[in-house]
Amino acid sequence: MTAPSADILRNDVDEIIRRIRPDFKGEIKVTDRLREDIGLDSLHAMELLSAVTEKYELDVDIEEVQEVKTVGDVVQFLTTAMA
Amino acid sequence: MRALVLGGTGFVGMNVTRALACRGHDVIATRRARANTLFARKLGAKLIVADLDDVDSLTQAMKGRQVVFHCAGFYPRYSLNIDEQVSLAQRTTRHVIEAARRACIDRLVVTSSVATIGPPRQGRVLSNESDEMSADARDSVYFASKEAIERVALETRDLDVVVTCPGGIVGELDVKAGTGFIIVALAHRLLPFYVQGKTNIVDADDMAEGHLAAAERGRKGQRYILGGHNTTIKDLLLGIGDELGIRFTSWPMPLAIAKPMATFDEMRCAARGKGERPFIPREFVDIVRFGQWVDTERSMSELALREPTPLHITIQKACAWYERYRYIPRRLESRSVGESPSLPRIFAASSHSKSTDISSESRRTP
Repeated sequence: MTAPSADILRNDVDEIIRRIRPDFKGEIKVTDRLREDIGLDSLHAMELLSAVTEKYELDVDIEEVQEVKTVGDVVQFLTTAMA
Repeated sequence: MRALVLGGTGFVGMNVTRALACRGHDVIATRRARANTLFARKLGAKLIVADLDDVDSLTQAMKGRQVVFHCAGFYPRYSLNIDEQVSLAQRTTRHVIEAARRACIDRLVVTSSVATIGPPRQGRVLSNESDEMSADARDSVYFASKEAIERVALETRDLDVVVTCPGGIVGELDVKAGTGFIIVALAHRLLPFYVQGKTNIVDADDMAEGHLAAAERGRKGQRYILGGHNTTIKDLLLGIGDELGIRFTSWPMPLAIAKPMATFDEMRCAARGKGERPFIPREFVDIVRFGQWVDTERSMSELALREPTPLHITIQKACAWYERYRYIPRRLESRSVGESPSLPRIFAASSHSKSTDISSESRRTP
């Protein structure tokens, strides 16, 4: 699979966050923290990471996935995993 | 065997899937379209989407399978709207049974719970499969739903159905921290009180092996307790505290206070509409209210089950898993799995479920 651009990844991450947290109406910024700013609990965060890694068919190390803290971290993680 | 596991991303389903895959069985597991599959994808089974409310998708998933494990047990987050929840539990179980008929499978193994085992009759100390759930327990969504699932399953005469009744399951792959919630809460020092009562704890690996044994050796139309150790909530928490190196100082809360508090807490969380986990889950309170010590003699004998994993090892395995995946803080000095805790007396007091093994100390526990 050709690695999608960071913008595409960012859009996918935003879309999945809004699906998981439909009540979150604000702008999603790259610096937003998943828990504190967006309000994803740890299970929601795992659901997000599950969805994005599944979409791009990534076989990831779960412990590594759990290092991500912000929206930007998720995009960076995907970019690195697909590089 | 060619097996299908319904609920392949849940705690029970993942452990059963892993056990089947480890034994070399041909296993497929189902998932919901939006489920967290991070852990399930690692278990060596193909994941397919099926919906308990869609008989066609279930039938399609079951086609060509010999044994179906229905581990997609209904597990409501809140103990509210009892009639609605029981109706949902019955409906989804009927869908599974209808799909099993259409797909002509050989055997259906339905996961219920030890919650459906009632108080012991005829002067016995331990409850067994013949003891019906007490009518009082039907005011609990968890108990009423499990009983409904089990009744629908066992009343089915035209299919080969076996029901398993696991105790409180503790172990790896507990992604949503079910019974293990108390481990996570204690590790974060978020357990200022507890409700004392009887419980039975089974190791997740033993529970999974019990499901395989039920598929292979269970008798049609029977239910089997998959139990581990009869203990009390206090002894369990002392054991967890010991493993985590945390001094257990929680306050015993009387049931008369815990039940209304739990109900209020759930209503508060439900009203917020964010799917928050209540601080005091009503289901936990109900499990303690109606908790029984159980006798596993029949299932051990008929299913040829192995001796249960020692409770301290089960706790060690679970804590190591929660620690690895950051549910609990990393401990500075981790014990290796299998090493005895410094306070083995805690577990000496909680013997496993055979009726002859209940120690006098365990029976005395307040």
